[in-house]
Amino acid sequence: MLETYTAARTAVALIDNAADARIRISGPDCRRLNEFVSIDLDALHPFHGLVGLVIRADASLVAVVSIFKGSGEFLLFGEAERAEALCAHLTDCLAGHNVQIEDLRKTHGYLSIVGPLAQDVIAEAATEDALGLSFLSFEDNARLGCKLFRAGFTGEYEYRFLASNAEVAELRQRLEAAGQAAGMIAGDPAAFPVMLLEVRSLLHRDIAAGANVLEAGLHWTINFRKQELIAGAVLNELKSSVRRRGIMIELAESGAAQNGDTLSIEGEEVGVISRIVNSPTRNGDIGLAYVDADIGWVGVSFDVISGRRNTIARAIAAPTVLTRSTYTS
Amino acid sequence: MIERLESESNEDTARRMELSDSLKRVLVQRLSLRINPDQITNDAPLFDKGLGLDSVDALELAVAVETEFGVPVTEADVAELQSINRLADFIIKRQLEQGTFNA
Repeated sequence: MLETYTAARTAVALIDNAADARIRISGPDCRRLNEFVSIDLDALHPFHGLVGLVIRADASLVAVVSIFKGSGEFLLFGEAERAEALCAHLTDCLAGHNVQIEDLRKTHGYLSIVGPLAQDVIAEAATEDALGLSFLSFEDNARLGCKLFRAGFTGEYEYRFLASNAEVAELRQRLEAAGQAAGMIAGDPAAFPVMLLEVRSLLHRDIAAGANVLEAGLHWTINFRKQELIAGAVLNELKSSVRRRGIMIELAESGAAQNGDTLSIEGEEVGVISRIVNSPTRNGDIGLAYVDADIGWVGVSFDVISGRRNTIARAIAAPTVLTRSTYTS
Repeated sequence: MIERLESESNEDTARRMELSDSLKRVLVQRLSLRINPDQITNDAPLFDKGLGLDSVDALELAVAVETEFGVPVTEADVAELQSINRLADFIIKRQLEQGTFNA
């Protein structure tokens, strides 16, 4: 995992995202998907995408997804752990409408190349024209025989490839050949959760039990101006009554704290740790915690009451690591 | 021995809160964003997938930071300005170096 992390943060790694959720929604009524997501798909340009939420009418979260608008179809991508739930939910929501919902895990491979040198690999594999792809956009790439996406949530340059099962082996060979000069390695997807949390790209698992999407700080994934936003009334009410705030923390001691540990100040419980990872770049443990909203500010220190050993945590700014791929879309 | 992570004072936290609110207002006004400042969370990504700011906005943001907070921003600095919290960190750090943080 460390080898993949290092490659993805300093060079480039090829990752097989075989387990990730990927769903195609097509058919005459495919635009009805807009009724069940937090972003406005009608306002999305073709061959572009956004990060959004699939939520229920009570604003509870089904999955954090990236949604891309194609020609007469939408493509949704999300974390592996939510694949089944996402498929089932959308099937339920769109029942009775003239749509086809395909779970592409059965028919399509899903690869990505991630790292500062990913653009070099793409230029080699798919020609330099592919470098013109803006962030969160995609194209049908004839040379590679796949849909090529410029998308990623680790802070590094990343390209993703959706190819039919019949074509994915050849695609992988092309990418491996193109990545040789850059020293690309075949990476372990297990490195992604650490990289995602370092830049506060949240997954469903990061929403602590009882927390809502606004407490998690996911306002930016919701288009509050969208007409008939699902759970709009609930979300607007939640906006004005946030009791807890999700914050990034650094721990004074690695290995001391664990998921679910309590945060306190002067003996009073004020929050809980949702997830901790060890950050190789920061050389220590960082995490996501939910604390009382009025103290959820960078610079505040907390006592961590842990089953392992007590330690200290301090709220820090996200992203917790800086990368070179910012705003270069 | 566990190294104590010093907490900011309540005064510093209050100033950070005020700075964060000001930054959100400046961002919305100077970049003509069609959202309310209270919809910008402190760790939300400003560029790419978050607010979707681009390189032109980055330049405007740099000018705004210099004008409103008296902190010059170089091209190299812009890469640090990825969220309201990161922006606040940057401004506080530079103001402390300049001796203008308490002003």
